[in-house]
Formats: sequence, C-alpha cells, structure tokens
Amino acid sequence: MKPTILLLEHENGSLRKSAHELISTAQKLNGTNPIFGILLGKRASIATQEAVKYCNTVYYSDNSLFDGATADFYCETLLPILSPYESFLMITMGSGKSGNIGGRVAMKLETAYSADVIKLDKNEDKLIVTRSIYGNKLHVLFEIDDSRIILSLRKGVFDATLNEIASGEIVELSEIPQDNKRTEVINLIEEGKKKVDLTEAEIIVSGGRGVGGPDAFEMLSELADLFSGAIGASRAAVDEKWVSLEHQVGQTGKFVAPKIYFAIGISGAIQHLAGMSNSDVIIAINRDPEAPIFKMANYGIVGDLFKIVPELITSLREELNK
Amino acid sequence: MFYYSKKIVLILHEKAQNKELEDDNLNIAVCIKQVPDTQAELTLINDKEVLLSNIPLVINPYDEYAIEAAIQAKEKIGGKVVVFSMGPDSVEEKLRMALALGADEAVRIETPAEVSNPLNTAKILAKALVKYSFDIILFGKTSVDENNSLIPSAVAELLEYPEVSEITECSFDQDSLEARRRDASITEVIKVMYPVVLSVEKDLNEPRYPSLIMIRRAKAKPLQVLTIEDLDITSDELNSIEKKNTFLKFISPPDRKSGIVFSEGSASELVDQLVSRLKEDKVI
Ligand SMILES: Cc1cc2nc3c(=O)[nH]c(=O)nc-3n(C[C@H](O)[C@H](O)[C@H](O)COP(=O)(O)OP(=O)(O)OC[C@H]3O[C@@H](n4cnc5c(N)ncnc54)[C@H](O)[C@@H]3O)c2cc1C
Ligand SMILES: Nc1ncnc2c1ncn2[C@@H]1O[C@H](COP(=O)(O)O)[C@@H](O)[C@H]1O
Repeated sequence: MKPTILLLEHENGSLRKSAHELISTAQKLNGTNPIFGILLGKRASIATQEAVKYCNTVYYSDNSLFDGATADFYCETLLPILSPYESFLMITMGSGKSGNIGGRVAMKLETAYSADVIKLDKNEDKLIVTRSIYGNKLHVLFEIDDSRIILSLRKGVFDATLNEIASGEIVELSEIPQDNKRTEVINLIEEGKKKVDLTEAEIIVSGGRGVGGPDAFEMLSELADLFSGAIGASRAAVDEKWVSLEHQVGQTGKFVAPKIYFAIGISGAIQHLAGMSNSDVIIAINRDPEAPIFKMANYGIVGDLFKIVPELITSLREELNK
Repeated sequence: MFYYSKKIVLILHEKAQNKELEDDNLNIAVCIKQVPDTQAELTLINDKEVLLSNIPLVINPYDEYAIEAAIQAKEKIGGKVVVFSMGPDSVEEKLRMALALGADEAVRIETPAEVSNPLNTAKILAKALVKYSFDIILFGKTSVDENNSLIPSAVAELLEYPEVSEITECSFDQDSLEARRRDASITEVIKVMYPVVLSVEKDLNEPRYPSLIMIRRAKAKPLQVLTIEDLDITSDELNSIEKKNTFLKFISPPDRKSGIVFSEGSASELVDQLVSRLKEDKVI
C-alpha cells in the first residue's frame, strides 16, 4: 500500500482552504491509493468531521502541547505514523510551519523532496513537479523518483474542489511525544478581527505608494469587502507602515493567485509582479499610462485613483446587488 | 524518539566533540546565500540553461536581516559570530561584507559539482556547522531564487535543534531567547533555550551599513575555505539524494499580454466602460 499522507491545516474546527487544495490534489493524482489526513492542534477533533468525508483515514490529536509548538515536535509526532510505510507520498502546504515540518521529516527520512510546487503531473509511475523560481521569472520541471516522497505545494495555486467518498475512519493519536521542555510558549495572541488570509482570498485589492497614506486603505477595504476579499500592498506601502507586513505581495512578501487582483497606485516593479502574476485577472488603476503594471493587466484605467475608486465602489455595489 | 538516519546524527555528534570554539561565550552562526539580484531579467539559453553570467549577485535579502540579528545578539550578550556560505569564489565578497558588518569569522564551502538538491546543501552546511558548537544558528526564511524554505528546518533536524521559523521579533538572553512569529491569525510568543535554529522574516530589524573602518578591518578577519572532503562527505552520499530528483527542463512562465486600458473620459465614464467590459467577459 502506498498512502498519500496529507498534513491538513485547520482553524476553529474547520479545514482551511489550503487543506482543501491538498485533498483535491491528492484525489486527482491518486487513483486507488488511500488518502490519510492528519490534523493536529486545537479543535482538530471537530475538523475531523469534515476531513473524514474526503479521506480514507483521518489521524488527529488536539493535545494542547501542539499549541505554539515548534516544527520538531510535530516532526516527532509524524515519524511513527510514516515510518512503517515502505512507500508513501506526503504533501504539506509550502509556507510556514507546515513547510518546516515536511522539510524536517524529509531530511530525517532522506525521502525525495520538492518544495513550493506549483504544478503536479504524472508520467506513468513518475511524478513531474513544476516549481516557480527566480521570482516567477522561470519555471523548472523535475522528475521525482523514490519510494518515499514529500512535497510541499504553493498556497492558492491548486484547485480546491473536493469529491466526497464513503466515510472514512477516524483515529486519535494516543502517543504524543514528551514535552521537550526546551521551548516554552509564552503567549498565543489571537487576532481580534477575523481577516481574510491573502493566500486564500479569491479577490485581492492591493494598494501601493500611489494611495498616499493609511487612510486610503480604508477606501480599498470598502472595495475588498464588496467581494469578501483581502487587502494587499506593495512593499512601498508596507515600508511606509501604512499597512503591516502580512499584506505585502511580491518576491519578499506573499505569492498570491486570486481570481481578481486589483493593483491600485502600484507601478508594477518586477519584485511585485513576482508575487501576483499568477492571478487569473489583473485590474490596474494608475494615473501614469506608462506604468509597467499596464503591460500585464487584463484591464486598466488610467486616472486618479482617488476619483476612480469611489466610483468603482458605487458601480460594483449596484452590480453585485442585482 | 528518533527513528531513522541515526547514523548521521551520531557522526555529527562525534564531530561536535572537537569543538573549535572552546570559550564560555556564545557562539552564533549565520548562513547566507548568494542569489541573482531580484531586479535582473533572466534569459534562457535553451531549455536546460539560464544565462546568469551578466547578472549581479547579491546576498539573499532575508539573510541581511539574519546577519543584523546575529550582530545585535553579539552586542547584547557577547560571543562570536561566524558566517557560512556554500557557493563559488564570488561568495567570498559577500562573506567579507558580513565581516565588515561585524561578523568575526567566515567559512566558505565550495559547492560540489554534483549538488543541486537542497537536502544536500543542508547536509553539507550541517556538517560544517557541527565542527563548532553553536548556540544560535540564523538563516533567512527563504532564498528568493529557489524558494525552498527548507535549509533551516533540514539543518535543525540534522543537528536535533528546535527551530523557530519566520521570526518577526527576537530578544536574546544568556541562555535563551524570546521570539515572535505569525502563524495564520495567531502571533506566537516563544521562549527557547539554546541551542536553537532561527529563520528570520523581513523587517525583523534594520540592517546597518558597514563603516569604512569596518570594511578595512574585515580584510584581515579569518575566512576559511572548506571542501566536502574536509567535511568527510562522499560523492556517493550526495548522489544517493541527487538521483531522486532529475532535472528535466526550464520553461518560461506563460506570458501575460497587456489587455484593454481605458483612458478617455471622466472617472464615472471610465468606471462604466470597465464594469460593462467586466460583465461582458463574465469576470463579475
Ligand atoms: C530585494 C527586493 C525585494 C523587493 N520585494 C518586493 C515585494 O515583495 N513586493 C513589492 O511590492 N515590492 C518589492 N520590492 C520593491 C520594488 O522594487 C518597488 O520599489 C515597489 O514595488 C514599488 O511600490 P509601488 O508600486 O507601490 O510604488 P511606486 O513604484 O512608487 O509606484 C506608485 C505608483 O502609483 C501611481 N500613482 C501615484 N499617485 C496616484 C494617483 N493619485 N492615482 C493613481 N495612481 C497614482 C504612480 O503613477 C506609480 O505608478 C523589492 C525590492 C527589492 C530590492
Ligand atoms: N548555499 C547556501 N549557503 C549558506 N546558506 C544557505 C545556502 N542556501 C540556503 N541557505 C540559507 O537557508 C535559507 C533558506 O534557504 P532555502 O531553504 O533555499 O529557501 C537562506 O535564507 C540562507 O540563510
């Protein structure tokens, strides 16, 4: 048996969109191999109810030791689950702790490994992965050949449609590693207002230096809210401290691939394009007709954003309410 | 509770016995990577080769924050900063830069011809790092050319160190540090006893510039060059990992062509034109 093992991200008892992307990818790839979902941390047991509709076996633990735990602790939890299998394909999400965990396990078991994959194909038995490198200036293809393979996927670029299967089995992990006592969680600060995660958003409204200050981001939020979208920003806007780092899109920010990306008062520097050029539709608003962003936008308006955006909000609100 | 590759860990730890830094001070390592300037355009020579010869090479942007963090740690708690990079000759210039910024020693590891898998990079770096006995090992969170975000975790695993990744704040103490990181909508505040691996997020600090005096002094600081033979790593060992991933080819990402730009009319006319077009194309 060669299971496909998925490390599923979840929050407040629901699977995150990234988990849907993993399951969907595994289902498409898989044929007859069983899919194992792994859910660790707070309210994992609740999220199993959703996961078990799509996975043959769901392993979970909501032991509080996972809250704020470092990747080594997760890695030690996973090794006994993985090591009995002579062959497996494990898939995690590429960024953040999930990526760290996959990387540690890959090093430990010396499996084949490929990080931040943007496309996954099968050629007979072999997996072909595509990675985006040099700030999306280039894609590179590798053939992966090993009995044990660990991959991480770039968030937001894989399809997330799921097929329900006959309900699977839920297994609670009873053996959790001892607390190593070397790390101590001092505090876990939960964000008050629930914000949409950029990498999960279907619509992103981004502002750059052209928006002139933090106030204009309120206006952009109004536009984003029409679509339950998220707020992005160029590095210039982040460096000015108009918005926080989590909003930065680009080579040293987030890689995003929404259905619609609004670039407002953003010139389209190469490092910004690196983060958003995989968007389905790009809409640019800029007063400079020569701005490089127009070279890759599907739609553009040349004009003053302070005049255009309020009109756009009114017009779209009418359209969406129809 | 470790299940596999016990062998590597044992070898690493045997090596650690002959520590080369024998004082009570803290030992801090920073690993930096040389990458093509993010501004540069890349050209494909054919589907197997990229033209990189005319492109300026810089320190991976995230690693600049790691260097600064190492120097700040040393300023606060004392100790010695050693900077490591695996790469060609040209990497020495970047190592000298780190020395000018305040690092004390540098180590360049010659990249073996067979290596392209980042797991091997991690193995080699771990073998070099373990020759010393470091309390804090700093990395950037990712390399902007390859985006593996792997090396810090893989090195930490080989050394059996915990890792705190993508840190946005950090305060160093004599035997532990406290760091902050973001995990989705949660900010984690974590205290870790040394030794520890850290990977740093942009904006952790404000990297300083080197002074002229420091640049001059840096020339006299020790810079050692190691090969995999010095690290007792064999080609076979590397190849067993290399053969799992076979490079097929490079392709250019699908081209985005410029679409339709509306530039004539008042704001409301422009918006009307856009919105009706979006409807027509079923974008909304
Ligand atoms: C190593 C490195 C990494 C980087 N990483 C990133 C990254 O991850 N993300 C990123 O975004 N950048 C990154 N950058 C920075 C990048 O090079 C640019 O400096 C930055 O993207 C510019 O941001 P901007 O487009 O908002 O500002 P600008 O280039 O200043 O553009 C502002 C635009 O607003 C327009 N404008 C002004 N006023 C108005 C108005 N009233 N109405 C309409 N339009 C208006 C102007 O015409 C202009 O086109 C990086 C740079 C380096 C060196
Ligand atoms: N060749 C290298 N030499 C030294 N450090 C490296 C090298 N490659 C990667 N690193 C370090 O590992 C971090 C993450 O790189 P990566 O895992 O390739 O995304 C970088 O920011 C560097 O700190």
